[in-house]
Amino acid sequence: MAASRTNKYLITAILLGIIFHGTSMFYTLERTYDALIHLFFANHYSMSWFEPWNYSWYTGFTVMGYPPLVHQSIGALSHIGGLKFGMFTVALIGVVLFITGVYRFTQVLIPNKKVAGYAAVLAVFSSSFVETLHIFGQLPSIIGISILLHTLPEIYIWLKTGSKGAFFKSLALLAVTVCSHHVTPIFGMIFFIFPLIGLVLMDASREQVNSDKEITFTVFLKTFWKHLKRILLFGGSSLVLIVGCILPYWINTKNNPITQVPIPHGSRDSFIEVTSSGLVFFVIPWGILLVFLPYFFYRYYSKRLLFFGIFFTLLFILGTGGTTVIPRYMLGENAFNILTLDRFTLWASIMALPVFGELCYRFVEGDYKDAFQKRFGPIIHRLTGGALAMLFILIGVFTITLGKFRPSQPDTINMLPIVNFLNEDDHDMWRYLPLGFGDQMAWLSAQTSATTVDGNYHSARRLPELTSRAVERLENSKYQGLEGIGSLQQFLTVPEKYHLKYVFSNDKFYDPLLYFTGWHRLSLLENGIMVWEKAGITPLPSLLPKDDVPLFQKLLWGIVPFSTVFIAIFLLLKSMWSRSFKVGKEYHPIYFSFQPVRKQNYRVIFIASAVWAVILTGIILFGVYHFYTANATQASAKNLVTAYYDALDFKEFERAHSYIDPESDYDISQFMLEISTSDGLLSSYAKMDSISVKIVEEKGPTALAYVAANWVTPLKLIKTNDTLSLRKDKGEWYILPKDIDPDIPPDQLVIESATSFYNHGKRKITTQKTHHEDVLKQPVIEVLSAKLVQLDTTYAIVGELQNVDNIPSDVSVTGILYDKENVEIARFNAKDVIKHKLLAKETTPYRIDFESIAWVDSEVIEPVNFSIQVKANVATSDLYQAAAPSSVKQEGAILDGFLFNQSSQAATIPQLLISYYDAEGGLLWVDAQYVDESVRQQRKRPFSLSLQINQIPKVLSSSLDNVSVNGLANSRISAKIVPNRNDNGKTESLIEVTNELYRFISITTNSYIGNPR
Amino acid sequence: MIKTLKHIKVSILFVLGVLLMACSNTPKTVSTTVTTERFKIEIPRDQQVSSNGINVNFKEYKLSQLESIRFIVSGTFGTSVLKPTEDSGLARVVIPSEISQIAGQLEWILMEHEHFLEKGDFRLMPTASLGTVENYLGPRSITASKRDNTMLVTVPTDSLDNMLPDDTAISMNHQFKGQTVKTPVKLKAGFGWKRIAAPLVTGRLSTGSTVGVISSKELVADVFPDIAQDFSINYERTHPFADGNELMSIKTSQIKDAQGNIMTDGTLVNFFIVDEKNNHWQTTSSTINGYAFAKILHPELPCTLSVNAVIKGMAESPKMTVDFKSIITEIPKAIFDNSTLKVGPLTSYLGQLVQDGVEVELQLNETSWILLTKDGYVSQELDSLKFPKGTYSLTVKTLGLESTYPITID
Repeated sequence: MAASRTNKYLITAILLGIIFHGTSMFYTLERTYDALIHLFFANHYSMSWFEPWNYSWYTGFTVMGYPPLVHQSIGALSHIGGLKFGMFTVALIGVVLFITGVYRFTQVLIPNKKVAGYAAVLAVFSSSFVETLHIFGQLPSIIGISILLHTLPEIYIWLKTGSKGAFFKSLALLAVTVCSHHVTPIFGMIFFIFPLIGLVLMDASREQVNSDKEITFTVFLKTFWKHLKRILLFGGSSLVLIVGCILPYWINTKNNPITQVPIPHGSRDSFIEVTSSGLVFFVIPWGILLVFLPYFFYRYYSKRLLFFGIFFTLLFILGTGGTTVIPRYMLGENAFNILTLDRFTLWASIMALPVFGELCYRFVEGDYKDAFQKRFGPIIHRLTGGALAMLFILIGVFTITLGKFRPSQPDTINMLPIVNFLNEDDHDMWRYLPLGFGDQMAWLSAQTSATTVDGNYHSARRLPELTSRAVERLENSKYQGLEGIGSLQQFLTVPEKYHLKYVFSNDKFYDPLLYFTGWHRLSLLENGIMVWEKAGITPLPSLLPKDDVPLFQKLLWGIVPFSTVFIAIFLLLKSMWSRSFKVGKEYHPIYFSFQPVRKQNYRVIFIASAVWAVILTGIILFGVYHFYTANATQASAKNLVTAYYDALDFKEFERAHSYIDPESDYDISQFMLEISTSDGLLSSYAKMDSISVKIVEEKGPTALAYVAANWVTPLKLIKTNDTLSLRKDKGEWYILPKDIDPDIPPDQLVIESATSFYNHGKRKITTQKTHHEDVLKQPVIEVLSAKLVQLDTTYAIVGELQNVDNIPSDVSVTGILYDKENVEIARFNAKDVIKHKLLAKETTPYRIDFESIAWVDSEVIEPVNFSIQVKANVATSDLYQAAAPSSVKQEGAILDGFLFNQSSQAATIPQLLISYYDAEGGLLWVDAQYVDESVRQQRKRPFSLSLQINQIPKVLSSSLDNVSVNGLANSRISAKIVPNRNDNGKTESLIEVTNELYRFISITTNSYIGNPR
Repeated sequence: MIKTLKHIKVSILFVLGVLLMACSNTPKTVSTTVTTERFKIEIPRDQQVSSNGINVNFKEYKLSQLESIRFIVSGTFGTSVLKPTEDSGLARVVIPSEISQIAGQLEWILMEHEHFLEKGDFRLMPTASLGTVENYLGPRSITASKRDNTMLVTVPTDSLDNMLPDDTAISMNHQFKGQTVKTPVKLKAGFGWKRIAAPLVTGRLSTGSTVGVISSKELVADVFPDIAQDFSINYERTHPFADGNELMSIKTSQIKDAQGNIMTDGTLVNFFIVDEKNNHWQTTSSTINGYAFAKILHPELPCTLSVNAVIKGMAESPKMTVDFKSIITEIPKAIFDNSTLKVGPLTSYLGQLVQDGVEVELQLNETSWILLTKDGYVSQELDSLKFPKGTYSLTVKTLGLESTYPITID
């Protein structure tokens, strides 16, 4: 045999891969979904290699929930050049391993070095690989599958020849796979190793007989019986490896079973219904491979590769997610809801690479080229080849830049100001919560020692508040509808439970929720992040609880994964050396004796491919047409209205203005002016959830559109009903502008005097604890009434309280329920049905609801008694009195009137707390209603609210005996501070209502000032 | 946690076992002789605390068995086992400074192996050199009433942070509005304390203490006003017309407590307003120098407003009534022109056009619209299909006036 020669194609592929991926990853990897999570884990290992407990997320979790090898590698490399250096290095290693892995895997299936070289080049631009690396950032998954591809040839050799060297090499490589990614080897066993065993048996059977046709089932069975020992030995050993290498992982999984309710994932959608998921999880990863599906099936269902055909089909079907019910049946309900199914498509597309390489080889320089040129001439052949190559690379390039065109992440946040803030003045002694950070929250966590209640690895969650909800992260809860907001509300309402004191808001959407749950703005950092703070939260104890694991687990976890790499390198050093530098003679592994017999029936496969291509083109054209008609905005009245609302929702006002009738003399500056003067919950803090447009009275060139839209806001769902007049001009529909409110405020220059407050905190610049002379006295609050009431099956505590001190106060009210044995059964805080910031002598009603997480035991919900704890701290901000209810009258269940803003601050979101009273003036219920639009300075905002209770709450208990304020008994406070309390203001504040279940109501206003001046 | 303990126990047993086996080969030389009389120490006397440690010398000792001697000392902060040392013929036990600088009772026991030899106790007294005077004052804000007081607590310490003995004389001082009170107090259990009754005037109370030559920091308490007393209100407006476009300001008198102290700035006052049709207005304002100003918009309809201001549960003003006159006497007749129904010009009390945004309700037979004026007019386009030619009954309601008349649409 001739001296070994370097495979040019492989060298080209590796160089291309390093150039293509190596340069682009610096722009993509940090913006992917997962890369920063792995970086966070890596940071953990770089700080404490052997300690699996991490306090940063979820009030503490164990990193034993994810195989450590990749994280440890990045962590180890980070000591050379920092965390990101480690990440990019590992990613680059992943690229090289993947390309070489495809090369070696292809040789097993199609024993031809040129074909393998082609496959390696194709692997570089494989859109599924590009997507997994540059969009998803799944480093462990890539390393896992790449090593698995390297393992397959060794397994083949062991099974075929019984070579002990190959046996140990295959096990060593498998161990590295196991330590990199847990799902890859488990499913890899099924989808890659099972068909490989089939392939070995086929090859062995082929040796027994003279032609492929003679391989009968009996022959196959006999061969199987002969190889059974090796198969079992390998199977048994790999099982031991899978369990043994990451034993702590399995122990942890057993001890802390995943209780998380399924979190929706795009890969489980029906790709026809949710086209965006179809694009990301089906069209992009398959890319141009879709065109050649007939060839793949044709080749994989040849006798030698039959088993790969079966498993390729299975992977293909599983990758289609929720489009059909088949994947759900195959995996079972449970696995279907936990697994992300995009990995199946990734594996299928990788499995397709060898035959795709073969196809290209045959087309470029093999028999297909001759056949094609004979029939169509060389020019068509070259043109076709060029076009397909361009298309293939373009899809790869498109995929890599997808994150740029359709950003899945918020803009890169400069973390330094946040890190500095947390380091300053012991701010890291409390937990923080980032909002609107996207996956960059992991990067923040990696840089600070402060901890958060949120996190970005849902399998590791332990707090029932998180596991009981299908919410990915609190940080992006606005994208998860009401459930997401509800989950966030729970954390913001009882922050003391988690020692949560700081919220970093990168999305003003959450700001109203923070305000109404009693948080206040602290400062705007120089990177534009608003810091919100909650008063009166105790710092974290210096010792935090953790689930410790035995020492042997820590040692296993810290030592085994890394040593698998060294063992694998040690075992494979020789073959790597000889293969890389081509020393010695050319060596052909055993599978090279099974060259494929290529049949010359070009017609069948060509016609099949052509028919398939036509069908595919048809589908694509239909899709494009459908996409066009659905998006040709002004062609139909319905599209126009939908597009107009879409533009408003995304704040693309110029586009919205382009839909307005050009003949109405309504220029963009007027339009923008009106937009800028409209503010409030609906126009500034709402995200459109759904819209239904009904076109009525379509008569020739005019029409009327009824638009019913649902908006998710941080505080409530808003349903709007609008009527728009439309006009058609030259085939295009336009919206006629609406009249604007002509109201003019009375004063040109508003002059207002007000008291403002400032608290120094520490007066001495020192890192010591605050001196006791700098600690302000907690303001004194008196609870005026408290009642435990029952409405249907829910319980609530309602009442009123007053800041009887002379300084403004921030109030948080905790209600505790007890059963008849006086055992505590529930505890929660007043959420938004209270005014949290009170001026001196100001009163507020409050209502404490007991949400599901408030209950100690969801079975026992029969409260008999209750107690209330009020915590007050000096407040210095958000004390504006901006909106005054005016001309209020009740008609039936509707309360009409307008809000007038007398102040010099615009009331962005006015809240009206409505208290309901019985005929004796006893408080029955409190309710919070939000006015959807803002009230600007000296302007009116009409409101019409429905009085909501349609049944009288049952009062179970009414007492002030068990009320404490700042740890003091409420009764002592009232005796000392206001001994002669009278009824002043009681009757005046009551508004009598007629024909309702209750007799009086009263209104307390509370306004969120979005932009204090 | 329990698992780890178990592991540790197992490993300890294992190590012990190995050690035992290793030791069993060598003959043991454990002395069991009791040498009771051969060790005597100089019994420590009561003394002052020391930051240099205390030496307890042996009067009698046997060097070879010094190793087996232990001196166990128990003080305020716990118990320590000390070993004697020998240096140029002098054996001694050194009680380290960590123990010797804390004042209090020290008990000691001298042991040889597990045999008790001697025991005793002595007291460590604070040094004469004074360290600091730590003061605590609370509550830090009080109200100017007989019901309230604040308490000053003084804890003087010596230079080694020990509390001073009982009956040490200290002077606890406070000042309010130039009046200084010095109260001699004797320490008890290390503390001196004094209740300071709240002055009946608002201001700042400052306090401090001295012990001998050393002094405390200044601590202050703010005296805030007591509960507000009833007050009065009056109003100011530019004109008496109900034009819906001018502000009326309601002003309270200076709100004070029973002693005449002005309410702290930022005290909230609620204003409740009701008209004769039982429409409600309410607004709030916080005081500045005891005065609260609230602004309300003039109503659009002529009415009589009844206003009162309260500090809830504490104080209120008498009711005050304010009349508003209509700005218009007559609504101009509507015109129908070019398929548009137009009402106007609406003019105000000087004959000027009413401001933009005045609400006008038009009712044409059964259909009604609520419109807002622009340049004195309101107009409504009529759909000729819905309103064919004919005579209709039109009702116009605005600014408290209403007129109904037939109108012909052609």
